[in-house]
This record gives sequence, structure tokens and C-alpha cells, in this order.
Amino acid sequence: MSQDLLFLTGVNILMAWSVYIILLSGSLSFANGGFMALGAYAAGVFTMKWGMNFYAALALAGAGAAFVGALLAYPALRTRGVYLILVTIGLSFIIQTLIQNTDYVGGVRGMTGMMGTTNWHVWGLIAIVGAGLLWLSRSHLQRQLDAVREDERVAASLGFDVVYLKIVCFAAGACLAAIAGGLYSHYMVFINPDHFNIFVSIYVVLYVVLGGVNNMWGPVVGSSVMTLLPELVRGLASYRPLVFGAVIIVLLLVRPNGLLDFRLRTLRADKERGA
Amino acid sequence: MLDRRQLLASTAALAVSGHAPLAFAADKPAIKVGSILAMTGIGSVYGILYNAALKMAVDDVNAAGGVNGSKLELLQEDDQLQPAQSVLCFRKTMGDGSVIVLGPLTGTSWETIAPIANSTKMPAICFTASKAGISAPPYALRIAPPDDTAIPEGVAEFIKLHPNVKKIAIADDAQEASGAAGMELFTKVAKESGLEIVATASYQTRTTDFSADAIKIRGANPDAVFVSSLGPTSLPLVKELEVQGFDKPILLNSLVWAGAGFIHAVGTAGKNVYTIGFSTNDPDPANPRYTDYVSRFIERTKATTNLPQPINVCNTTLPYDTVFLVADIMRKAGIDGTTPAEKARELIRGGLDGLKGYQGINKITMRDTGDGHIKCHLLKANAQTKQWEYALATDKRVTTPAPFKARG
Repeated sequence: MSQDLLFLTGVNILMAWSVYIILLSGSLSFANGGFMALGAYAAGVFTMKWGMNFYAALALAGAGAAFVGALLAYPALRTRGVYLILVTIGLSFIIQTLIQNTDYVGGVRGMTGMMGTTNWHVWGLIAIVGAGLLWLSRSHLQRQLDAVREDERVAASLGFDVVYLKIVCFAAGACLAAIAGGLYSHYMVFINPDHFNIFVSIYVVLYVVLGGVNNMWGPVVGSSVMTLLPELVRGLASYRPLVFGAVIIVLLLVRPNGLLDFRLRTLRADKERGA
Repeated sequence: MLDRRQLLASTAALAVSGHAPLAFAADKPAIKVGSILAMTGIGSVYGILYNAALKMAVDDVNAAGGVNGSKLELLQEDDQLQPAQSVLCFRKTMGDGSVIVLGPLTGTSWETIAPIANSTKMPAICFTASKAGISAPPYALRIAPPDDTAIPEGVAEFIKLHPNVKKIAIADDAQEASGAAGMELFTKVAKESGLEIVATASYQTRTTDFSADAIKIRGANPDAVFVSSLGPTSLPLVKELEVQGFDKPILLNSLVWAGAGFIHAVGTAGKNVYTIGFSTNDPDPANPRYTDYVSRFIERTKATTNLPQPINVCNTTLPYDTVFLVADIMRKAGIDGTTPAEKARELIRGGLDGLKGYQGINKITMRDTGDGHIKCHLLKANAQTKQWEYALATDKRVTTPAPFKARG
């Protein structure tokens, strides 16, 4: 596998996890392409214009996106279902349009010159985030999130702070998407607003849905398959999108719950098994 | 029937006769030369044309014995006119062992690639991009004349042809670096020439609806319009202006002259259309090599591409010259297919560093900015023949080049 493909697979895994984290609390976000753009541009400005250290730029971009995400989540998460999807799509468009009209970051022409990301950075972050998600899946927090996802009213009646949990997940997802964006911009050297259009958000959600939403490995499998598949069928030339689309339809028909639809065993299940 | 001994003797005789250089070249591994072109998508009208010129040059070099006994091998990458993709293509061709990269095509891509060429010590030569001031010597040179000389030279002839033009509108592709830079240069040159700018309009590379821009331009009632955008983007704007009844002269920068398609599709909207360039399909009695190139290139593109005919040779002589320039540098530096890629790149860098000019099909003077200069002229679209033609007769053209500082 080429270095570039390895990199893009890694970034897509991070992006898929950013959606998965938000999904943990039962919300679906189509704004993660926008948060990725925020991170890509913010990190680019920090390193290129402000001369900041690469790692500090990534951290600050992630923290900034988390703050913005939390701020936007509070009103956005008052909506449900299809309305929430529409709100997050709107957010994605707003972020893209703002960037297009900001000359400081190059506007529609884009921004160039960012360098520094290697595959070690991406896959190192995957290891860290993966370890965190693995810990989460075995923690009591996961059970609270499960309760919120299954039925918010019941979760609230049990004393869980539903709004707080949802905002934390939304902010964490935004943070991860922004860091992935920062890594992306410093690998691709050039970015413009078109790189973060609504299709990015749609594809990322697709990765999670196809891979499976019930465990952290689903998004990994979904994003890996959907990133590598177009390359594997490169020989089909102009028929690639056709085959890609057909595979998506077949997967949704054959595995409607995703390629990996099992749930990871929780800590409590382990204890019960031990007892 | 030949027996084994006769067969061997015949083969040996063939090898030492006219086919000797090829047989020699086949002994050594090939020298890999990377190219980054837009072969699919909106930019394919450029990429396919330049690819034909590059391949023709490589075939010609190889037919003449290659470089120090090695053939040239072209590693072609498709960046789809996307700067980020250009970066990936650049890294890939570098990883594949290319000793130099030819391309990419657009100003945005070249602006992105040039610094990477220096940081990775990988020589690169651009033969198209028109935004000025973005080459990065010693590793990243451009042999094409950028707009900071092409636009003043073209506008000077335009004003000579249309002395009554006093008010102009300027339109640009704000998304593409060369498009936006062309707008700035058109503005600067117009002001210096005493022209009043009555309207400006900006759009993006993949814009398809130009009705609002055309209304704005027409509403300002200019005597002429200057346009800076790629051919596929400029075409619908020019057609929309015609639909809205605008029949004043339209001057487009060299982005339209280069590549295929615009001149073939512009139709009646092209009756007042001009561009800036340095050659046409007409034979040049003073330059037999050019005349030979034109006839061979037209035949070759007919046979090997599905580009609209008759093809405009436009600036395809530049990729052709680039291959010969690189071959010359490699010959002088003693590079062949056995030279390690890193060493070959460093030797080529040395050749580029001292390059003051090149006499190929074109006479190229290198500037201190790392860009080339070729004197440009005003060209007019001929909608009937689907060809660009010189707008002024030879004795009427402006011969003084725009000011620039040559490499010392």
C-alpha cells in the first residue's frame, strides 16, 4: 500500500471515529467535514502565519473546534432526528462559506505551504484514540451513553445529565475531526474549501454506517474498506464510481447493521461472567 | 530459409547499422522522468495535449540514441487539476525514482509544488503556469513566460489595434492562482495604459452560470472586457456575453490560448475574441524546426488523441523543449540510467542553477525569478478555421519586450 493511501485511510478512520463518538450519545452529525475544515485551516494559520509548533497548532486547533462544537451543540441538540441532520448540514455549509469569504486564509483560492505530517502522526493518534475508545467501551460512561442513546427520557429519569453528555460527545467529535483536519492539511500541503464540502461529511457518516455503529471497530472497517475499495478497482477506470455505488447498495442490503454489528463486552458483563 | 548462423549474422549486421544507437540504449536502464498533468476532468483539454508533446519529445530523444546510452522513460501522473493531488503525484513520482518532474500545469499547483521541490531536493520544471513570482530556484524553474511579461506585451498590441478602447471591465477566476493574478496584472497594466476600469467580476473554476457576471459587465457598458481564467471556465462567460448582446472586443489571457477546446467550441461568440501567445499553426520560414514540429504534432495528435481537430499547437512547443533541455543537462552531467536518482537530481539541479536560456524550438531567456521569457503577441480567434492567428501583421507588432531582469 502506498504511503498516501495509508495516510488517507488513517485520516478517514479518525474522521469516522469523530462521527462515532457523537453517535454514542444518539446524535448524528453531518457537520464533521466542517469541523475538519476548521481544524485544517486553524492549524495551517497557527503554523504558517503565526509560526507555532506543529503539535501545539494541532492541539489548539482541536481545542478550538471542541469549544465551537460545544457552543453550537447546545442549540443544535435541542432538535432531533432529521431536523438535527439538517442543522448539522447547515453548519457544514456555514463553515465552508465563511472560509470561502475569508481572504486571510486564501478564500476560494485556498491555502498552501503546510508541511510536517507523517504516517506516524496519524497512526500514533489512531492508537491513542483507539485505546481511549476501548477504555470507554468498558467503562460506566459507555453504559450512561447507551442509556442516553436508547431513550433520553429514561436516561434523564435515572439521573443522567443528558444535555451534558450530548454536548461532551459533540465537542469531542468536533475536536477529533479538527485534529484530523490539521493532520490532513499538513500532509496535503494545499487545501481549499472544496476539500471540505458536504460530501466529506456524508462519506464519513457512510463509513460508520457501513462498518457498523455498535462498536468502535465498525468505523475502522467501514472507512478502511471504503477508502481502499476505489483503489482496488482502479483498473475499471471510469466505471469506478458505478462499482463503488453498487458495493454500497449491496452492503446495505446484505449487512443492514454494518459489517461489524456486535457490541463490545462491557466491564459489567465481564464481572457477571466472572461471578 | 535462413539457418541459425545466417540469422545471427543478419541480426548483428542490423545492430551495427542504423539501429546501433537504439541497441546501445537498450543496454542500460532507462532514466525516469516524471510528469504531472491533468489527464481527466476539466483540465484534460490541457493535459492530453501536453502529454502528446512530451511523448513526442521523449520518442525523438530516444530515437536519437537517448541520453548517454539510456532511454528516457516518462512516468505520467494525473492530478485532475487539483493542487492537493499534484502533491500526491509529486511524491509518488519521486518515490518511483524519477530524476525530475515536468509540470504541474496550473498556477495554484505550481505555487504548491515549487517549495516542495526545494525542500525535497527534487528538480521540477513547469512549462505552463502563468502566475508570476511563484517559481522557486534552484530546484523549481518555469520556462513559460508568466503573465507579468505576457499581459503587458499582449495589452500593448491590443491597445494598438483598438485605440478607441478607453473603458474596460475585468473578469477573473478568483479560485485559480493564475486567474486571480491575471486580474491584478490586467488592473495594473490598464491603469498604466490610462484605461478606466468600470466593472469587475469574479467567479470560480467550476462555475457554469455566468448570467449575473455578464449582466454586471454589460451594464457597465465597457469598450472591452479583459478576462483571466482557464479555457473551460472562460468559454461559458464569453458565450453568455454573446447571448446578452455584448459585441465589444474581449481579451483573454494566455490561459485560453493554451490547451485545446476553447477555440473549437467558441463559435460565433469568438468573433471579437483575442488572447495572448507566442505562436500559431502557421509555418515560420525563419524557424524550420518549428515548422517541422507543427506538421508532425498535428499528425501525431490526429493519430493518438481524440482532441478536437485541427489542433492548435499553441504552447505545446514548451513541453517539447523542456524534454530536450533536460536531456541536454543530463548529457552534459554524464547522467544515465545507472546514476542513482539522488545524485542525478543534484546534478540536474546544478544544470538548472546555471541556466541562462535555452534555444530549442523557442528561444527562451531565463529571468532572475526562475521563470522564462518569450516575447508574446496578441492573437485573434478565427471562428471559421478554428485557429488562433496573429492579430497584427508582422511589421505592425510591438517588438519591445516587457521589462524583466535576465539571469546574470
